Amino acid sequence: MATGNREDYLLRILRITDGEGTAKTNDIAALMNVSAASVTEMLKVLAEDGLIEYRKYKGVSLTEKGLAQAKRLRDKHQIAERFLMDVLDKDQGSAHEEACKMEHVLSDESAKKMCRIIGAADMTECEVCGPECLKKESGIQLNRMSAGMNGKISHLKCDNSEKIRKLLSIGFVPGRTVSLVNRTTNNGPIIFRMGESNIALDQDLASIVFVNIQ
Amino acid sequence: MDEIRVTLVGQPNAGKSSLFTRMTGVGVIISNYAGTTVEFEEATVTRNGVNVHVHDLPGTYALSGNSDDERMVMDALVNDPGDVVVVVADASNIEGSIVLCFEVIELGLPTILALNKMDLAMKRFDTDLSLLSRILKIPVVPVSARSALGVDALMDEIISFKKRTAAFNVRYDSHTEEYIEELTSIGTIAGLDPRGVAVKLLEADEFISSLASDEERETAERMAAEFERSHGESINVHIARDRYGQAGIVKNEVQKKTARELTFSEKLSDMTTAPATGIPILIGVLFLTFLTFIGVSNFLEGLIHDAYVSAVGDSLRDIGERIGGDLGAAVMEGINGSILAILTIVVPFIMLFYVLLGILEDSGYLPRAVVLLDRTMHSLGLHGGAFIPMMVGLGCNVPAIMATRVIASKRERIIISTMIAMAVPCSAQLAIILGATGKYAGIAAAFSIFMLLLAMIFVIGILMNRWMKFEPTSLAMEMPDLSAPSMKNVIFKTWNRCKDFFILAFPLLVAGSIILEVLLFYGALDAMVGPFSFITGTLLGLPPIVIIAFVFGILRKEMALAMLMVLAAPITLADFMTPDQFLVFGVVMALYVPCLATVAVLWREFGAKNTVLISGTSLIAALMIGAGFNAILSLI
Repeated sequence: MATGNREDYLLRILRITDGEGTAKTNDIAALMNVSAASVTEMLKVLAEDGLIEYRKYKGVSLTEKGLAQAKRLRDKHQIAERFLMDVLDKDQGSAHEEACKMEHVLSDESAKKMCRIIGAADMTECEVCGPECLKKESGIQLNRMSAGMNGKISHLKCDNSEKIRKLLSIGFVPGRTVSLVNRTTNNGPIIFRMGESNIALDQDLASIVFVNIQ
Repeated sequence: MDEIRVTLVGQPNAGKSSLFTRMTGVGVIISNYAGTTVEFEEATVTRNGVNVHVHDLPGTYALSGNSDDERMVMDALVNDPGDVVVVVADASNIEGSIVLCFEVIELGLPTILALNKMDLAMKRFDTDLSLLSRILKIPVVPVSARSALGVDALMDEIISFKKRTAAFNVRYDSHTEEYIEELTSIGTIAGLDPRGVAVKLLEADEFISSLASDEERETAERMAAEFERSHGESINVHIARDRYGQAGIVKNEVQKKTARELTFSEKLSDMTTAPATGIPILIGVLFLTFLTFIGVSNFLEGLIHDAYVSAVGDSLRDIGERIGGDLGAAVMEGINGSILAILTIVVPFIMLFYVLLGILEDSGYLPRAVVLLDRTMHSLGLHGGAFIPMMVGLGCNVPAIMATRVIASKRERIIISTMIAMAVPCSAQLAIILGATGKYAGIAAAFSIFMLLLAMIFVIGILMNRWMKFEPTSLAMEMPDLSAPSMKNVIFKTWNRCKDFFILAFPLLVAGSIILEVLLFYGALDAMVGPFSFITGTLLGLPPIVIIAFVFGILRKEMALAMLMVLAAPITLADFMTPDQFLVFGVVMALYVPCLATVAVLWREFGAKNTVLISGTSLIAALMIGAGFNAILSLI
């Protein structure tokens, strides 16, 4: 049986149990849209590999090894999905579908590099590269920078092409370095420095621009 | 005689207008923030037997945006670029201007780069101008519009300009280059360089696309869509990325930062926008400006009044009496009153206001106020950008309504213009509020009028915000460096903005007051103002003759007060009306219909319906609130 399918089971069990407790065979069958019999079949295989513990009538729980593998898959899925959406500008639906396939083939190394491009400020306890990468790298929206931070613009993300054009024309272009000078008022515009000029952007425009913190 | 036509383009606040003034000697209004020039300026100057026509365009950050200003600049560059395009750049901030230069060159336009504010830049950078010229393959001229340095050299360069065959070309990534090659084979537009046209088509530039054939447009759209699919980034972003990438390389090659410490103005600049200090500084600046205005205007008014009376006294009247008897005396009385009125209204109030506004404008502080007030303005359906037109509106409503052109949203423009026309007092109205109400009914009465106007602004904003369909807008504004205002420029601007009062308002006032004095002399005036006494008397509790002031107030606001002074003579204004009456008069005049010039500009910008609506509402509001004040005051 394909690895992809086994990994899908691990992910489903993780989703139901959230790392603790047990999942019922019927619940897994419903989520996977397969018969209870084929679920039981697969659970035996996973138990043999030491990824889950299977107890009749009680259901299944993930072993330590199984939990780590499942979390790693989940994180790869999230990284792939955000990469597709943020960097390649895909819509959520198709990004999710593609990420469902990518999670199985993505190497740890590629996932780490993708993570670096998108930044990972939203993700907690990422299994792929661990917590230290979150501190080093964070591709974040301009309005979430703090004063004195420096970043290189990675991309602009907004459905409104007028706003993108406006930002491009005043110089918020990927590849340029920008630093945050001042937040003015609560939720008010923020002053950024780019090259030799100071430019104020309101929160809405600033949230369109993504930077990798340097 | 030879003719050369020059077009100035450049990023906002690069100093195009100052350079324009230096080149042509024609004065235009210059301020230290983006968006001062909202219309074309044109002037001709003769040099070495050549007529040079200089065209100043509004500032634009790039040619790839889609704002009104950018479209206007593209239109001018495509249809009427003249013989030479001068890209004006701030020499301390050349990266963005190099990008603009790339775009102008790319369109195949004959280009000269003028590095302005060179004197300031020399303190911060070592710039290798000849290297820059060799890289871009266009002439590069250092200038300083402030000290006139290099302006002659620029004019000579323009006159002797010969287009060079191969100027710098931005290299885009290979995919984009393939598209460009394919598109250039289709043809060109308006005699522009096919390469530049191809890039603009790929960027879906509205102006160029509208000139292209359906086939060209569709091909370019298909390419852009294909690019986005395969690169996951819009082609606009990618093109901009390549331009800025190369501009950055050019900049680093030609310009080296000299080591230096932060100047005092840079430290102060950060403080003006920092969370802890920004708002207190804003309140301090506005309060200080207001106090200075009240204090100094009051002092100046007394000084000028006394000086005039002691110097001239009754001499004009006596001369009139000797020439034309009693009628002559009455005519000269009118002229005397007019001179005194203009002197005591225009100089202490209106000119003083413009001096203060000029200082604020040139200091570069106003954009900071815009940023700090952005959130507050949102509750009125506006953004911080509305602050500058409102400040300008305290001087005169006409340029203020013109200044709203920098605001992209039509909805916001109407809301701001309504506020300006109805509730922002112009300098003439300030003169009435302070010079009539404040002087004769006390400063508290004047203050209550200001509070009333402030409340009106909020009422207008909240109501219009609710009635008009919401359009989200966004604020992106460059913060210019703070700088010490040049007194020369402030005085020049003040004179430019005030000369109408002397050359337009004064003759009108003289003519009007002579007619009035004659009518008074023959006792005809009372009969004429009588029929309106239900407004002045019954409704507002004012002397019937005040209707004359109201009528002249439609022409120009300062005429209302000036007429009141002429009408009151020989008794002083203090004996002419009671303090309560001065308060009611001030309220009515502060809210009154916009003057003719404002009506004209409203009409041009927003059409007849909006103009009638705004003017009608102001008149009704003025009379009703004035009547309300009168009713309450007569109860007390």
